[in-house]
Amino acid sequence: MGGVPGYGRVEPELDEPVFHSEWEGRVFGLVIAVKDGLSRPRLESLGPDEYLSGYYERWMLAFERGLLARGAVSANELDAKTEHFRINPAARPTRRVDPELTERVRRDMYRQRDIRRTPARAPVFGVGDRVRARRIRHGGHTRSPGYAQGRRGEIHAVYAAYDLPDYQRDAAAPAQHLYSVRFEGTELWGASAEAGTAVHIDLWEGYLEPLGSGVAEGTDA
Amino acid sequence: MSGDHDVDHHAEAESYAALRARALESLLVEKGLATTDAIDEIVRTYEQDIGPLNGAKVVARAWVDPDYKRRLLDDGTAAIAELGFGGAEGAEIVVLESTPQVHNVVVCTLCSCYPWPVLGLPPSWYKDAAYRSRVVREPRAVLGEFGLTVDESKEIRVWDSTASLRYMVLPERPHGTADLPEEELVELVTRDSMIGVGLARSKPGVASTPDPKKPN
Repeated sequence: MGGVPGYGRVEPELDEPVFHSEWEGRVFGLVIAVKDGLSRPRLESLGPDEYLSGYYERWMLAFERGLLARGAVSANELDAKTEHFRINPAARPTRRVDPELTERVRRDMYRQRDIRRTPARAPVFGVGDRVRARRIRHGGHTRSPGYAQGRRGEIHAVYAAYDLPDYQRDAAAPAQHLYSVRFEGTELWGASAEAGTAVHIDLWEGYLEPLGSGVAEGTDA
Repeated sequence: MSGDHDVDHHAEAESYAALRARALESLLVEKGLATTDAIDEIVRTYEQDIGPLNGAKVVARAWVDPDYKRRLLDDGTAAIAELGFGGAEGAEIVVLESTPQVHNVVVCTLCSCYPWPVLGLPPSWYKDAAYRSRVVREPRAVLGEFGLTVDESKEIRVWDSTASLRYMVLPERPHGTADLPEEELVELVTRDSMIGVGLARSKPGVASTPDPKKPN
């Protein structure tokens, strides 16, 4: 939603708690504890109204849909259980403890993740190269923000290779190098840009094309 | 700010959410897919252990130890791990040094990516549409709403963490803190200064951002 107009002032909350209600913490805990709990594409597949509801409401909805999709719970039993708690406000969720599992979950929160992948090729771009962010037309999930697509930037840093989260026809699509690409404020926003501002965006190689190639709108990433 | 209608509406929506969350937890526990104490532990960890104090320790160390600072800017994840921090949403942490010439500020316009191991879970405003839509377009105006005026001569560099990396700002060390020991420097480092919407405090207990009406 970068650059989308119509939103008002930022309203920081003084001494904001980590979770505003108990249920937010429970949903967060469930998503972390249950493997394959939440996927970004599922979160982004929510409708606009759903997406703009509260943050943990979104998490819960996406989590719930994932559970339904893989048959872990059925819609009927979930509705029935919700009704049960509505009729019995004092009822608490069923309890089961497993200290050994909890220790594994605890360690997993601190476990170092290795998300670097072996790329199919050496990086195509180097620091200082001029590039353009391609227009993405595959219509699926992409991590190339719309406000930079079609805009010209410069490679600021060459990072390692990581899995590309876009939906791919080929699920085994190879990992690609990631770059920090610098876009001047004026390139993104024209005359309305504030002076002396730039945005650095992390973009995968397939999101970029070399400037001067004569191809303003390339193929899909 | 909110009228009674909004408050009522919010309370109603929240109570449905609370019921639904209870139902989900109960079902998943009954089916053996989750356990009560594991959820308790995750909530406790992010409420008490994994928060911006971790990042503040990293910053204070970098202020007093030039070699550590070099390692931190060179490989943030590894240098942060030296202090015992790392894990979920912290596989690759890049540290951005703010200087007299460049002020860095971090956003995720696509969702709300945030370096959990050093800052904890993000505040609401970081996840809200106002910040995410506007800070890439008018960072000076948005920082002004946090009470931070950045001199026109200083570049503002907004980092949109759209991919696998998570960013944390190394704020400038405040003037007049040369004599302070590392433990006291930790207290000067605010969460906002590590996102880039504020500066480090100049003294313990002093507001993290200057009065918007006064120059920095």
